[in-house]
Amino acid sequence: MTGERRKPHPKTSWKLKNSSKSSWWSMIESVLFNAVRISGCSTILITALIIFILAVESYGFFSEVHLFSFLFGTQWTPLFEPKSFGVLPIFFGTMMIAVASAVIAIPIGVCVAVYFNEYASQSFRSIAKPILEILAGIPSVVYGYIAIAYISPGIRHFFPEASPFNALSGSIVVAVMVLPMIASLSEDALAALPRSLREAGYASGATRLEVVSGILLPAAASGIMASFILAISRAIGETMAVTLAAGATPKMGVDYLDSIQTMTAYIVQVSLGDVAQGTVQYKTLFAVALVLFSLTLSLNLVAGYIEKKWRVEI
Amino acid sequence: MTVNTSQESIMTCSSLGLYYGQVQAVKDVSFKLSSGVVSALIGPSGCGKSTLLRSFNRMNDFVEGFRLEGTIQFKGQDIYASGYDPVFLRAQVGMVFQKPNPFPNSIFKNITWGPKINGFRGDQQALVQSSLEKVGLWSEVKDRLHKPAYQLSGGQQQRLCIARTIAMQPEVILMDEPCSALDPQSTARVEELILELKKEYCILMVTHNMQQAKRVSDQTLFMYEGTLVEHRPTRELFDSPKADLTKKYLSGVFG
Amino acid sequence: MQRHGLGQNLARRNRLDRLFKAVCLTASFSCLLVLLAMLVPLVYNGLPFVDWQFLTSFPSSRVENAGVKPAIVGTFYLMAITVLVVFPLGVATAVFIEEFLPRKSVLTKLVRTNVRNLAGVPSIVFGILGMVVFVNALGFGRSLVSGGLTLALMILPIVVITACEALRSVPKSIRLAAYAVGGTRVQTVFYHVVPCALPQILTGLILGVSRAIGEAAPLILIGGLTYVAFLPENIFDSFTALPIQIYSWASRPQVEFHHLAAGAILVLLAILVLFNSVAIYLRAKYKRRW
Repeated sequence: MTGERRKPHPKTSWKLKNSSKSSWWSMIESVLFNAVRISGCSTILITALIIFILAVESYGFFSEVHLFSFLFGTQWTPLFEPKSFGVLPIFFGTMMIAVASAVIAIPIGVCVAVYFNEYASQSFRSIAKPILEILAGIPSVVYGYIAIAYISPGIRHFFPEASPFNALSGSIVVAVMVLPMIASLSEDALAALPRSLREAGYASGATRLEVVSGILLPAAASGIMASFILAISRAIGETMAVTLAAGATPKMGVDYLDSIQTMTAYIVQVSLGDVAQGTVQYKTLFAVALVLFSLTLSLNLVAGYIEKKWRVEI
Repeated sequence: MTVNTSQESIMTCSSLGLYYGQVQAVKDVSFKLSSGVVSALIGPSGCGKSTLLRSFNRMNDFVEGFRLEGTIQFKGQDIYASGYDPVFLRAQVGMVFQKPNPFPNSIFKNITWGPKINGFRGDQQALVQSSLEKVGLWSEVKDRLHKPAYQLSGGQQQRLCIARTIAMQPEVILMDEPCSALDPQSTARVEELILELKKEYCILMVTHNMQQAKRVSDQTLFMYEGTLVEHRPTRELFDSPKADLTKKYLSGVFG
Repeated sequence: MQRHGLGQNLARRNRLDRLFKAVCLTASFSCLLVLLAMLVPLVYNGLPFVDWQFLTSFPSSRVENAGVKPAIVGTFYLMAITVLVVFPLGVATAVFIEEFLPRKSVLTKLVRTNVRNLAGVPSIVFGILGMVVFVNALGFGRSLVSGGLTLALMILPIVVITACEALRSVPKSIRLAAYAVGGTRVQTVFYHVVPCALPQILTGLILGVSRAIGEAAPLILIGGLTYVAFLPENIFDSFTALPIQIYSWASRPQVEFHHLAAGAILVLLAILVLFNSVAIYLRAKYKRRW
């Protein structure tokens, strides 16, 4: 190596242009930049639109129907005479399904999560987890069909007095639908616990059950409880399965062997029918949807709050 | 390579071989542990000391692929025999971990949980007080027994973990580098504590700090790549190591 | 040395422990059983109906002649529109959230919470949104484009959430390297960060589309028809889709129509399996290389 400075090869040297971006490129840049900024607001816009639409149309509805008779009325017959707009029957229908499916799915889901985390071998997990994902991915209509075609007849076999459409079959399929959600969220909550916590428990001479129930589940409680609430929220918003399975008869009872109607099923019923725009029947769509939206939104917010604020710092 | 102990041994291992799957972590190790004696396990990283320690209270059961050859006996019984209850073992052979791991509960509950599930029906307050007094924490925390344990400093948490262990009144205490996550002051306090504790318990301690082994232990076992190279009273091992490897390790040729 | 007399209750504790393990195992197995219990009768009842004639005919009130052709075509058209809309929109939104918004500010937190909550909104509410905005206000009518746009909005939150995670997982070092050779933020993001995150983004996209394929509720609100005797000719034409067809047949009282529904379900599940296999393949192929 000599002390001379080597001359740069003509083909591989280049000069940095002062304004190194051509005007064509900077136009593309600003287009992309603004496109991103506008798109970024899309999600906010969607939420705003939903709230705006539901609020405005519901306002129109409530100028014709008194708010109290809507919220506390026990007769829901907006589509036939005599018209009555008390939302409680379909609200009860929704809650019946949500509560029953939660009661079925929560214990099973937590047990599955515990088994996956504490007991299962890698090979078991590699089969069982995809199965849960498949269960979660099956569309709602399919579950509705299964409820009508197989579960309802099964129920009627044991309870001949049950009607062909009943809340129990709806609850069972919704339970199967929310089970994977509970299992995977609870499992995430358990897996996030540090290994040292488990070791501390075992080293104190405790059985697996004692470590799980005394230390792990309480420590993961915030995530697990959040998963319960999200599952209930999902069950409330469930549409096709309950439309097919649970019926179209709004009622005030708690008879699971009888047909009911949920809020979501009502919305489907109205949109399949011939309801003219602008009529009060048409506006019931929005009022019911507002109730639905408020309910699920509040539950989701509560779940998020519980998950954050009740989390045990480790 | 054995050390003569006049006392009866509480835990012994013979011809111990430990495997993770196909990999052998510990080869043909045999020694005895007795009450009133602190034994230090030293050696470079990866020599198998933690694996060896954890096999004494069957914590390695939780590792997939773990396998054992030879025997480990506690009070004369083979702890890996098919009828032997590991839960019962762990109630009698306690463990203190490298990083303090209190339960996410109050100080009070940390100490009482283990005894309660194992059938303790006595005075919980007295149990908590005596355990905390033994580790020198009582005066520092007696006014906040029902506050979360996580509010304590690192050194305090580790002493709490030791208190939790001795609340079970074990026969043997296993310690896995108990001071490596602590500052020098807390380390000194824990070392003092170990010297106190040895009067009542049999202690086996893994440490990568040679000076600590010198300060605290009565016997030292030096391991290298899974084998027990030398096992002698601490004074003798440090002043006049017999094996070449030991000499090299002590003089810092490898770490 | 006194001991607490521990160990008396060991037998009972171990029994409870074994019982608990058995309960958890049963729970896990029951999931497998449930899946089988659903699939077996479905295949048994539906498979006989799935043949070439079924796939290429129009629905009919006569069971022998009924088919799912318009439903399959409608589903594919809808998916195409949905993907074309949600992919750029979702990526751009995620880029905005991850790269353009400050890491920790009230606005950022608001946007993130909003996206998460949108993901939990029932699909039927999106149907109402689509009905008011696309069908009525923008005048697209009960058409494929209304349906596709509505589904795109519905799965946008999921796509955005997975895309955000994908972008976040790109190591900072890549961005720094790009800036260090004089790249602008736009160049860095679109030439380096997004391509790096692309496989994961695509996985999220496919999973979102899988969800959209199976949705009937929003399409019913948009005005997807339950009985069509033609194929849509352009995106402003009325349409049907597989989930709607399934619903329509399943809600009939006659058992033969239930079997038709089973057949249509098998077709739908086949399409879903196809889509999800692509996702799994992508996920495995592009596993992190750093």
